[in-house]
Amino acid sequence: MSKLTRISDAWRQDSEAIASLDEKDLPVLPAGLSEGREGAALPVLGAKTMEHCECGLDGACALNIARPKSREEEDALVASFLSGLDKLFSKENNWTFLQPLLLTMEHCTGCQTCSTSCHIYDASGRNEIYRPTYRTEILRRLYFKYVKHGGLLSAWQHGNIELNWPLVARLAELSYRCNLCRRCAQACPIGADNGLVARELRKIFSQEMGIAPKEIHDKGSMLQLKSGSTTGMNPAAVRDNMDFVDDEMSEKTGLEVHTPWDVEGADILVIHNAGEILAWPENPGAFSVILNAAGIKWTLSSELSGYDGVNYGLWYDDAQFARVAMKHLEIARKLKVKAIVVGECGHAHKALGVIANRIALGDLDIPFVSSMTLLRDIVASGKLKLDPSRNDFPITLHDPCNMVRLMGIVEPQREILRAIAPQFREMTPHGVDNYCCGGGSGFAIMSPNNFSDWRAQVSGRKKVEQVMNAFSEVLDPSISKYVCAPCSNCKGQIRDLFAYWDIWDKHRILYGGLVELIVNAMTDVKPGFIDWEWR
Amino acid sequence: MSVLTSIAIYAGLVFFVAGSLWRVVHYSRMPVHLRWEIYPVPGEGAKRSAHGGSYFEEKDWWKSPRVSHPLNELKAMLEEILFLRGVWRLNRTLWWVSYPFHMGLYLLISGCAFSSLGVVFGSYPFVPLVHLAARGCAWSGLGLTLVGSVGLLLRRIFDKNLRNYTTPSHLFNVAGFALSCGLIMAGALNGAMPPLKDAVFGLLAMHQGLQLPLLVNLGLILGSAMTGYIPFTHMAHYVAKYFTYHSVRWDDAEKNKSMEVHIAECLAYHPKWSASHYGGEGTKSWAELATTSPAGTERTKQ
Repeated sequence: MSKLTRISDAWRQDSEAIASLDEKDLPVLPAGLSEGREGAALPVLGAKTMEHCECGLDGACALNIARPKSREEEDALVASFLSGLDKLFSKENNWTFLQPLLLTMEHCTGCQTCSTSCHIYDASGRNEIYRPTYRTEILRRLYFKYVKHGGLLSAWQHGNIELNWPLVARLAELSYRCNLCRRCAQACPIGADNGLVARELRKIFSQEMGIAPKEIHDKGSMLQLKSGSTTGMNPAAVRDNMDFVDDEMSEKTGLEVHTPWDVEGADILVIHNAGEILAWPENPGAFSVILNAAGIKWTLSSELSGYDGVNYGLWYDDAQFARVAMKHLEIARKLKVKAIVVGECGHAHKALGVIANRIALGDLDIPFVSSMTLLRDIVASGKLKLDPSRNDFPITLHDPCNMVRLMGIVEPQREILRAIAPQFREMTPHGVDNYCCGGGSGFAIMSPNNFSDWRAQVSGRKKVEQVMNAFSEVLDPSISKYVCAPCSNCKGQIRDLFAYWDIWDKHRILYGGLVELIVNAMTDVKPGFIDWEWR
Repeated sequence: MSVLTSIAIYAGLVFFVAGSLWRVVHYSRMPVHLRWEIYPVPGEGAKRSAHGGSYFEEKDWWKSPRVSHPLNELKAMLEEILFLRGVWRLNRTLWWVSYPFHMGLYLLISGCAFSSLGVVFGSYPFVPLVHLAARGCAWSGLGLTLVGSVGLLLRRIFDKNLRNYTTPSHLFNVAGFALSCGLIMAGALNGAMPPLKDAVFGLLAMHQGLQLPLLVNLGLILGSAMTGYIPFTHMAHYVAKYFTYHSVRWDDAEKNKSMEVHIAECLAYHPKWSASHYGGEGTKSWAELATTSPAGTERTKQ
């Protein structure tokens, strides 16, 4: 294990990484997946990146922050950070999360109970910089020194810190080494929330300094507000694509599949993660099959942003979050639906169901229903004829953090699986104690430089271990196995993990959503809805 | 000397109460925040919170009034307060030192309460029992607090996991408790200590004739100083925990009229974040910013 990285290393003046990841320090994966690997765990960053970008944290680079060209530029960036820090702790600028943030800043005892619950810290071989408390300790010291203007007594009480550009640049990267799964917050006896700290730090960088991962901001929330979807699909394109999905589904299932659009007065407005339509079209297709077969009066919206449930602002920027959430609510209001149902997307669930709840006032306060609950009710109603033997292969369930630990939607998806999947088995741990897939908080769509290697080696390592252990007695590739992940981001991360660790080829473990399993069990549908092909 | 000790005790209590109240008011007056709960939420009831479920699991949840389960919440609170359940489950080695420390403090507070009751109800027949309880609580409280604080101090010094997160004040805090308890115990065991009831009466009444061993006086003065200092440190988590649990972690409450008024006030704030996409020049309210698309604006200052 490398030597202990101190808090003071974070403001070291050089641009060298203050921590490194070596194969020998990382936990061994089951079934020999990590066997024979040695040396540095991440590919070395390119010379151009090293020369032009700030990469002084851990040898990975998520943000590509340009190196300042002069001392004046450095000073201006530090001043901008300080200005953002001040705003983070004022009610006019940050009423949205001020109370929980201050409670964490002022009361953490540093007992480290949270550390052992963090999948990133654990899977990194307990590398100090990934402790949930490492970045919090830095922010706390900054808070007491620069916001509360503490002097020597405060330094004695809370620890000293030197603010410089290398510290700010490292802190920016460090805010993107946390999945915001908040397992650490669940573990904290005091109720301090180090996951929130990572998110609030991201807000300083985005809202004040204009620094955020391109995939989340420029190609994410900005693109969604401009063109309607983070996929870039405009309303005409999304309708074309869904027409194509309908055709495909009709052919595949033998049923006539028709997806309704813009039906005013429908009972529910369904909002999918639009990425599903392009990457896993069978998922929104399966929704259409099920909702039609159950006789639900439902609709999709083709209004700008109304057909893409993602809300990346949830991870880094309150204004971007609110703008997308408001659009969704406004569209539902105009359609006069009774409720909004979000498809299989964890963060979109939390965005509309929980986080937007308090700013949805008046006629925008439209009930939110989880697709898990709706599907459970449909399955329990007996409206679908289901044959569980069609799903007679080993299945395990991944719990998306946003949907489960952070919304309490735990049992509906299990009730469905118990009804339709004879070989369903749980991962350990599961439910509200689950581990994040490692793609949470935007990581699943981020792959600059060697960041996707970091995702596979560190943030996703625990999930790989869990999946392998869940199937430990059936790992033989002659047995097809299925990881049910009812969340687009989780599926994207699991796809990348399985590709990185060669899990499909070696062990024939496929991933997919929940609705695919339901349609696969429908006796009205041609057998073999699930394609046992890698994609 | 005992008069000085009495003054220290009263001053310590005044600072403790005032500091704690200041914290309560400080956090109570903060703006309502967005929902940020973590499950399990015990207010969802015993059945649902057993697996960490929420009202979102219910069919047509919005068609019937939400039912709260204060007794289940109380049960979870008592488990946490009396047994430090979270630490027991997730950080067992810490529990073995943290629990004696906290239980010791609870017993010391109980000992003070019993002693004071004994003084107030001096002529009632049950009072000898109260004094007995006071003595039991005081001695066991002193012993457990001493053991716990020494354990916490050693852990702070020798556990490398805590090295980055230990400041001089952390060591001072636990050493202060250990020293205070140690002095009182040493003084009471070796000096001419009057009966506890007389000592408490004398201290409360600022009786000039009260003779306490020097070490007891010193321990009480130090303990009083620590008591008055607690609310101004991170150790004030006895206040913070109410808010972190009830206002954050377990708060999935429905909006009501008063909350809506409060939120409307927050939506009228004019934030001034500087990034170009944010649009925080101070001319738009939060509500206006939330309905203004920045698409087309240049992104970064960087």
